[in-house]
Amino acid sequence: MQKLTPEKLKHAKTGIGLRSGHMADILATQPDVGFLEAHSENYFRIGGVPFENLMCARADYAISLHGVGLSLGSADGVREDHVQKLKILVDLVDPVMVSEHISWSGIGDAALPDLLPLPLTEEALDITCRNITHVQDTLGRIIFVENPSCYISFPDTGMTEPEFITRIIQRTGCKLLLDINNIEVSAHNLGYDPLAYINALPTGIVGEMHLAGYQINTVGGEDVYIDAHNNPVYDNVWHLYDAALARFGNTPTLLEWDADLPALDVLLAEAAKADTHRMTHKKDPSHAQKTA
Amino acid sequence: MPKKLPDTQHNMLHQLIAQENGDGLDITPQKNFSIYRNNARLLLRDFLKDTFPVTAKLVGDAFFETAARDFMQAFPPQSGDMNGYGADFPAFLQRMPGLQPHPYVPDMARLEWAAHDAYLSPVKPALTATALSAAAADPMALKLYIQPHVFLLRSGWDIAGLWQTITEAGENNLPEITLQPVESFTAVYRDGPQIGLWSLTEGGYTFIEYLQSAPDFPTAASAAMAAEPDFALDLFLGTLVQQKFLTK
Repeated sequence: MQKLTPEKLKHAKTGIGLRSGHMADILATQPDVGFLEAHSENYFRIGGVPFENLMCARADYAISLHGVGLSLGSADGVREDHVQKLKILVDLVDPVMVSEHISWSGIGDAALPDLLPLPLTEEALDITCRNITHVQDTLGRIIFVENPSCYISFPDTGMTEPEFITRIIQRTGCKLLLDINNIEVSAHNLGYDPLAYINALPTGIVGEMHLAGYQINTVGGEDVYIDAHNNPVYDNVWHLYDAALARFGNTPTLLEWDADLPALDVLLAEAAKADTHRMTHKKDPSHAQKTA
Repeated sequence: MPKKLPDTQHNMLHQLIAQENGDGLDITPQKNFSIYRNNARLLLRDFLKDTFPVTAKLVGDAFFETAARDFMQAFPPQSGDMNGYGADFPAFLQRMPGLQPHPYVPDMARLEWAAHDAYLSPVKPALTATALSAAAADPMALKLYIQPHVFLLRSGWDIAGLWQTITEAGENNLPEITLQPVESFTAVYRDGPQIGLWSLTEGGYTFIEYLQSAPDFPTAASAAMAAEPDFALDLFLGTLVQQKFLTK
């Protein structure tokens, strides 16, 4: 197949996550999607069953490798063995994109399979930039970094999250993977305007967008949005997506659904909705702004 | 400017693993710390449950929940690569009080960890019967290599039989279990995307075990014959080739 670049992915359909529950269906039915996103760590054991399946999928699809465990915000640096495993996988898969999160998950000799928030400080900025630069230098390519979903914040330093992210991108040359659902989740939980967040980001830095459905839990008598990736995309997130398309232009997009997996058809229908939004934006770029 | 991030991260991670309330962390709203705390416990519990489904069924939900939480606190993951998380779980179960009525449970966990490892291991090109015959012309110099997806389990219970029984009973049924102590030797391997179990004799088990530590045929053959004087080595070699357990 012709090698795709992130630029060419703009013209491809929306991608979907390659999750183990859909693997057999995807390999058997080969749905018409723009690309497949695989969680990098699930394929670190080279030659195992998941890796074999990924290489089968790679024969027919562009693959995006999306890491969840690199811990770019760890104060003691990213783990070298993890970076080296990622490099081996990247070299074998030759993915169209490699992405990770602006978060941390471990320090010292312990870690958790979660994406923990960072304080928006100069110190955290320096550390995250240093880690991203090290990863990019090792991989020999730029990575895409995803804005976090947060349930807590640290003391106000005067730096906003869009500013924190923009400075990371300016200093490291990486691209932003703008997760629209995460903006909605964090904005609700921490009490800010999600549209203002989008408008505070400069144009030209977004390389990919993510869409997903959150879950609403009640904590201490208040609704908290949980970034569970276990529901269809909510209307408020579709509206934000329109606003993001209006600001950043047509962008490669991925529909994430990681828990309580629906039938593959349901996921494909959600991805097709994103295609409709992108087509509408292409025909009438002002539409998205009007609807937002 | 003082370096605060290492302290913040150490403190937060410690509290999440210890399942504490986030006291002393400068965060807002404080009550939402419980979301991260519960995530940590539930994600790791579910990860272990996916890796050890039969073990979980044997001990029941409440015991497994406690075991997973205590294991997380004693042996938290060491990195974001979760493929190795749970390697110590069988030994941890062995030391847990409350399992005396089910002494075979730690061995079931060992079998499931071997299955997990086999699933994630590569399959190398198999040694053919012709290639083996040619190589065996000089048996004293013969080197035999076992596939990397083959793992061994020796138990005082018929763990492979129990695994089979529980797996075949389906997700929501737990058949009545009456196990008598019996020495068993099992090879856990993968056959394409499926996991296979092969019940071995002590000679076969010893032969593979020796080859896994060093590919020297004469040493492995002597050890197998010592373990089981009637061991039919020629027949077993043929089966190993047939099962594609040998590689180049």
